[in-house]
Amino acid sequence: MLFRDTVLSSVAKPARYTGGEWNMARKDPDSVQVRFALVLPDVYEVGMSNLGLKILYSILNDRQDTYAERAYCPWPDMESTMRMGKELLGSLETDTPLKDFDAVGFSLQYEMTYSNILTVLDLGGIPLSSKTRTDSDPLVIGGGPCAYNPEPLTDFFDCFVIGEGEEIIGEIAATVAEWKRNGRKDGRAGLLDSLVKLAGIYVPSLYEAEYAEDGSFIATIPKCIDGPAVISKRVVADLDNAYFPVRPIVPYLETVHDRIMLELFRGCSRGCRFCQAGVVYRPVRERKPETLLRLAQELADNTGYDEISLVSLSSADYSCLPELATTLLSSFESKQVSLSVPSLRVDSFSIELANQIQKVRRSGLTFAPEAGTQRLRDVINKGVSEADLFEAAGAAMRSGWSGMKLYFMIGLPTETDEDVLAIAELARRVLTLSQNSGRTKLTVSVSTFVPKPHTPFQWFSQISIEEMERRQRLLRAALKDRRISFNWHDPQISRLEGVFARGDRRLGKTLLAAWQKGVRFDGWSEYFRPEIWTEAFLATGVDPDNYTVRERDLTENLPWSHLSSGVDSAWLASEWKRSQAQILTEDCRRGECSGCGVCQSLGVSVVDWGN
Amino acid sequence: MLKIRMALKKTEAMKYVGHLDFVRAIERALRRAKLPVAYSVGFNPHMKLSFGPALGVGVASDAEYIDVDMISMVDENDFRQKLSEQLPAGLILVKAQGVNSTASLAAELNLAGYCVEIGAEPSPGNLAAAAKTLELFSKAETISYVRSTPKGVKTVELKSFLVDDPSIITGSGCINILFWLRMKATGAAKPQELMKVLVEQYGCPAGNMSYRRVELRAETATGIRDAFEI
Repeated sequence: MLFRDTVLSSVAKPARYTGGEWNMARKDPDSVQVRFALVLPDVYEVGMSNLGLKILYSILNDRQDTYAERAYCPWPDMESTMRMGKELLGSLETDTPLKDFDAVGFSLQYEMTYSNILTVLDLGGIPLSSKTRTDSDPLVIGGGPCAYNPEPLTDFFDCFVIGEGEEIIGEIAATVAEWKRNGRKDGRAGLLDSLVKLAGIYVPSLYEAEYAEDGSFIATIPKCIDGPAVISKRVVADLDNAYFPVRPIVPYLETVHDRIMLELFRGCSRGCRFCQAGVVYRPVRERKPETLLRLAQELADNTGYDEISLVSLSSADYSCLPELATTLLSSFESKQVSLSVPSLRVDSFSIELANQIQKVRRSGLTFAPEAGTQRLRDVINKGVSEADLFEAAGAAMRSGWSGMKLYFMIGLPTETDEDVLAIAELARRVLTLSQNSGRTKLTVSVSTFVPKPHTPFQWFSQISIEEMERRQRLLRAALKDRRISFNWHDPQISRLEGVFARGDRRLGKTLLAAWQKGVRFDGWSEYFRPEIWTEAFLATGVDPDNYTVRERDLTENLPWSHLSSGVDSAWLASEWKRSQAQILTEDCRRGECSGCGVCQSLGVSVVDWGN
Repeated sequence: MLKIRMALKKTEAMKYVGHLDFVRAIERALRRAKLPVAYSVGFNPHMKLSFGPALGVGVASDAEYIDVDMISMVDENDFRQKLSEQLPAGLILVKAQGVNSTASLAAELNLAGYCVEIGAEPSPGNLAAAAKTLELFSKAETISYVRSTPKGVKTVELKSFLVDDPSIITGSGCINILFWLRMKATGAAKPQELMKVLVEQYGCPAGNMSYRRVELRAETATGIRDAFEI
């Protein structure tokens, strides 16, 4: 157990910190060569919901030479209690302070968790700056989607993993074990020299970022012979035979995804031009239905969960979904295990599926038209028509779903006020489909578009805070209806996310300054402190607009140009141009190859059992 | 006999698992054990379980009682073995026995015995102070406790919840205070509230306290019974 009774009795939800859950790995720490802490820098309930870390935890613990443990970011009440008592943050498994691990791996899921990374390092007794760490400090590793542009974090990390972790995580553990066996030969530098030779590893201290005199970014260049000029992502070619954990930890607290997560496939090639996941997880690779059925049975037996969620970037696109759903339903009905599909397409197939699997109409349905007009949906390559949406929404209402959520973005490239107002118009027309319009509740959730690296929109200028607020006001006024509830994102958070998403190394000092001044849990609106960030930008001489509202030139080198998802940047540029011309690009999964280049450059291919 | 009544200990990290999370942990353990538990019918079937009165977060327990409805007969030993294998650390199945009872555990188990380790060494001074505390406490006619909740501030008369005066048990290296609280249809008192009064108003020595519910019983018109007798 991580803390004493006095500490645990004084904080909210103490079960966040006690560990001991079902299927937790138990090993004798003295029996292993490598002690690996896996961290998601958010609160326990969020961190425990991450599938990637569940996979890595199991892979590492299957190794005899390694013990993988977990830590999450203490909630602010616990942080202050710990600081008062001078307590160190330890692992949930053995309460070993993070500073005593050989490696600490952070899952980088969202830019707004960056300040929590510093909290975790500091409470764990690890020097924040990678430069000041000694041979006895752990190796600090980052991975996950934000590692595709980790530049704002390079001051604090020793290395990053680009791409999928299933294979490389073991290579890292083996490298650390060998380095320790050899008496930590050449110290930290020796370890980093070995790591940089692994495909998919980026060691930022062995690369230099160069800037022109006017401050513009020139390039990031390797300083050592072993560092490749461009680091390509790691990818699991055969997902069907890839490792999938069948004994995940079953938490006591209700986590965000507190159910079996069955990953049907990885990747999505629908080609929505705003979507980073749609680029970096290419190509689509499906698991076979028989593999999934076997995994589902083992997972249900080993966890006792009563719900299986069929997760993927777009689960309704799984080629064998009808067959899989039928088989799963018939195998699990008698066991009182239900199914759910978190991401639905805007079409009637999805409604049939939802009707088939979701007997209880409690959750409501979510559709994501993303934009209000057909013109703008063509710009973003969202292959959904208004007819599709009305058909799907109508079918859902006829089947008795009374709640529905529509998800949109504002601030997309080429957006005009007409596009913004069309969101309200679309919502109202969806409501008219309801036979019982008094009872129907519609939630319109509108986030603000944040351009992400490695997407066709990576060159785009993000709209200013003032403009975000103006468009939100416009929409709010147009959406006045008691049956519609309107949610929007805090523009200050969207702006900050935009800064760090496409940021460079110069943001490291801003992040440190803001954290020192007290920012915590920036993704949680009740803790977000924009005024501290404003101070930190001023104090460190960094202009946030330079990262957000400035439109990049297509010929410009970008701070993440030395990291590759396998997708050609020429293809991204062509998609950017096609978006301006409102030309749609087909999904290569079942249509024509659009030449993104990922299969050729990484030696992999689309795996779709329906083909 | 299609109902099994079990008694569990809830200790270590499990004492920080709140009531609803505890319910879920038991359901999941029963599912893993593949025991023929009965489900309710309807759109959203759930396991037919009933629990005794909820335990506070941070309080350990020697005696949590749960009734499980079964769809078919199960050998008690088999039940014990299968479920024990699936219980997480900190949950220990003490007893499982078929019962022919329609009693509601939550309603009928209305007496809770608590043992509080007060976290002060059993030095002669501390022992004398603790004894003095209880002596003064027993002489007081009423004990008011001001309870503030998000709903407002309310004064509670604690003595009306106490079955007898608290007593002292000296353990190895520790002093324990033992008392029984009555749960009424109109409300209950928390063991932490009583201890707060003993420490703050009656000078009970205290360090890091740890709370344990040692037993639950049913006070009926015909006398006091244990959980397997109702």
